[in-house]
Amino acid sequence: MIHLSDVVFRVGDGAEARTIIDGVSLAVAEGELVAVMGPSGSGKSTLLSLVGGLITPTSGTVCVDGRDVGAMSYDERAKLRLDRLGYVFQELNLVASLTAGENVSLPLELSGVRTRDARREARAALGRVGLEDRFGAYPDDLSGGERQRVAIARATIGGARLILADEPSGALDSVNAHAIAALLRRTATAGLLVTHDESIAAHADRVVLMQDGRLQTPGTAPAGPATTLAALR
Amino acid sequence: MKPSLRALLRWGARHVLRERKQYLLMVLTLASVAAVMTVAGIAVWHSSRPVEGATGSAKAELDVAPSAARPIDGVVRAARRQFQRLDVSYRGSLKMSGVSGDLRPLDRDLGGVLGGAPFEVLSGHYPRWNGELAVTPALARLLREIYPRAGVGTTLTTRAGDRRIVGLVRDPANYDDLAAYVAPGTIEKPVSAVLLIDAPGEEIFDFADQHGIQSFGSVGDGAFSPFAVYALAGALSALLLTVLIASLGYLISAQRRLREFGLLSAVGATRRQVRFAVLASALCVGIAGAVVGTLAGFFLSASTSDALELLVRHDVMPDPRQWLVLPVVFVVVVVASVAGALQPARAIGRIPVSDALSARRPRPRPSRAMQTCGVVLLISAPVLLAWADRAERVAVAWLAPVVLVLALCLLAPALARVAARIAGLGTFGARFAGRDLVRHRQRTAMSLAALTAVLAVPMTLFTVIGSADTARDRQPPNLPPNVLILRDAASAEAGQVLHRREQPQRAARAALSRIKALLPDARIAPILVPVDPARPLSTSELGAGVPAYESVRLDYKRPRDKLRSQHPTWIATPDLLAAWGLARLGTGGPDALSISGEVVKLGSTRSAGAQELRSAALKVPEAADIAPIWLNPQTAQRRGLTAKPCCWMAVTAKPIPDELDAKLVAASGRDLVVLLASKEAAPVPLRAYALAVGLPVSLILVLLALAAGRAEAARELRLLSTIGASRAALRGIAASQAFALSAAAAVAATCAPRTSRG
Repeated sequence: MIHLSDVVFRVGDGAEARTIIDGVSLAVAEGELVAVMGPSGSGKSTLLSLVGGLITPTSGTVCVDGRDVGAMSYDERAKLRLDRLGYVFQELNLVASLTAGENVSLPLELSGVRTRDARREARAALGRVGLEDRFGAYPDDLSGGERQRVAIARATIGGARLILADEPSGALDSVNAHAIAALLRRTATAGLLVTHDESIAAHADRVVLMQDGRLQTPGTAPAGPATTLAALR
Repeated sequence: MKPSLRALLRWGARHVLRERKQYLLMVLTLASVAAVMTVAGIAVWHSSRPVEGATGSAKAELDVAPSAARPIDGVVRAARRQFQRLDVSYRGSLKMSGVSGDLRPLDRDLGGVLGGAPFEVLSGHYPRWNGELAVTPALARLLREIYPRAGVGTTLTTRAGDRRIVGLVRDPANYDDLAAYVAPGTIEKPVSAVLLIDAPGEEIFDFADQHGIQSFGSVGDGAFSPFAVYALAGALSALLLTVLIASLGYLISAQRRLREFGLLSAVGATRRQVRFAVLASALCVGIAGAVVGTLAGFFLSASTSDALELLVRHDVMPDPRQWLVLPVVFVVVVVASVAGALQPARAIGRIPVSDALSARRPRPRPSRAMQTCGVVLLISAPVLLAWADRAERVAVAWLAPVVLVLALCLLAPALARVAARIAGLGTFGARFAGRDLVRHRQRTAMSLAALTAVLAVPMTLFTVIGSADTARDRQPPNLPPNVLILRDAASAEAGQVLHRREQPQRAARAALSRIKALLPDARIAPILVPVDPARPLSTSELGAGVPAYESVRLDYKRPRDKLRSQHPTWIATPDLLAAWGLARLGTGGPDALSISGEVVKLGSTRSAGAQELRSAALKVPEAADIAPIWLNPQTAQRRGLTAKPCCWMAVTAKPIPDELDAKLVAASGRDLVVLLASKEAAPVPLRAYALAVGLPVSLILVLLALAAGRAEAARELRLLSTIGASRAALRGIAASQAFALSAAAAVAATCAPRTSRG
């Protein structure tokens, strides 16, 4: 479903140029949840942005469902996100002035589904994450864990989707964090999960480590986290 | 509507409701503009004078002037034959002492077939028989130049006998109408007739065409009251400024919501949908402002119809069509609000999604082109005001604050940087405030623009009024305060400077002796002017450059001393004007003039003569003994030109006291008119009104702007408090921010009038 081939992403020009992603190749099969771990600034979030088409690679190809994201126009990428991808962030996952139900139904309404149908779908999606009774609540009235569950409901609404989760449990306590990770595991057809937390990464089918913009395979990674990761698998 | 647009619109509405404090300033600004536009629109709607007010239920009013081929009676008879419903009024002529023109009273019948008084009696009653007169308030004011307490009960001296004012009446179609009315049927020698006709328009046109009638009144004369035009111009200027301010406001708001827009894009919204999300908020703000503003305008217009009548200077007839202004204003304000959001929407749409998600605003790049443009506009604003002041272009004066605000918006980043650099030398609070201004440059620009606008508008109004005053000051006076001119009443025909008839010497002598008794120290001398019997001169022939006293308004309101200090050399006497006019026309004017014993030789050509006479006029500080000198009397005689006394001039050592004016007018008798220097009247305190209305409104808006700015900084102030800043320090920071904003705005606003007056 997701296929990255020798992807490079640079920012800046001339002497100020920095390579954020340096020749990453990765494949995520259907039904597979891959956890991406690594220290801060290693390029994990950038990798997620490349897959989601928020940015385009300097070189290499990023394919989702066999389509080259880098070659798409802005609106084609927006359409791809709308139809196939679901984002979950660490914070500010929800639009503050919309209710939980409206937040969840937003992708469907943007894609042209009638409001009534979108609401019905949203209620069902919220039901899947155990928040059916919070349909009309505003984000300010929800706990951190509830907000993340609403975000997951939004990311999974409208059928099978690829989840791109960027530190989804970073602001949560460990109980809630594991609940969220388990929920992702349960609802996502496939996806990438960026996390610092090894126990959260344990919910994924596979773990990859990023360092300085490159993917480290278990065994070749530096001592410490990589060893732990290898043990995990 | 598409579900996606509906969802975004819902989001926009919820956001505006949720952040209502943030949007309050914009809603109020839009509402103020909508209210002003509504009132101005209704004033413009009513500005054109309705014929119904002037002519009762008549369809048209025909003014029949006599001619050899077309006597009045003949036209009236023909009209009576042709039209069933007809009212005829006759206009007479009353020569009055002390007034340069004559009164043209109308014997309109209140009980005519068309019914309904064409005017309202404000006090007293309508004239019932010969000897009674009703005048309009405007005419009463004019008469007070001569009769200080002219009003009901005053007796006017006219050649046709004394006339007592028994009523004050107002023309509902024109409050400034200079009209007098007499009892029906009391005009013996009409100079014209007014036909009020109730018939189809084509018939009236045909009749007017057949009888060569040019003066034709119909529905609305197309004249807009100056107030309506100024109000509309002001409202449109305010609308432009509001678009500018709203644009900055929407940009600030959109930048605050940057992560939400990023989220929207991440979810899959297209650029167009993101742009629409920004516009949706503007649409909601616009609708809120338009609703509040048009409602306020509606109630304001409905509750102040009396004031509206005074402003448009005629009766305002109830007309439900006037409320069509409301939807128009509503749409204009909503469109203006959305137009203000177009640029911010485009800017937000261009920000990369990843930057938006991390709330990273694009780093503003200092643009030299923008700054240069700002400097040019900043220089242009005072230049425009100065030009408007000099050229009396009110529209340009209104353009100046718009240019000024635009300039400040463009220069705001640079100005804020300078402010921050200066503030860096001060305490922590000032330093923080200065840096805050630089960091939030859109907010700075918006505050600066808003404050400048609210201060600059009343200041510009102040300047415009000052400009009008200055223009009036530049008008030459009619006479110096120590001079009066006595002349034949028959020569007081409008536009005619010289008269051909010989003066009634006996009456003149008697009048002169009476005046001499009132002014014992006066030197009285006849003014001899060569007169071409075949060709009287008109003021228009005198040309521009040297003012003709005939054309100076009698209600000129300036203190005498001010006039004398401002116009020491602009006193032109009638004989000088006459000689100058003759010289210009090359029709045998004098060869030279004796001005207080000094001989000024005039050139032989028209232009040379004009130039020399103009110089001579400028040299005469006050009225002097002036006499024409004929170097070749035979030539003058051959041309049929003789020097005759045109009038008499009395010159006193001191200004003639105001209390003597009425006695002098009475002393002039019925055959002569006396012309006196205009009297001082209480100046209209328009400037005070402008400040009294403008400054409180400005103050309220300034406070709102500052409150908005403070709310914006509240989060950072809270953060500072968590790291141990004392309450006093926080207050100091907030105060210094407010000071920085208001000081900059005050400097920007006050520079306008200062440069204009300078």
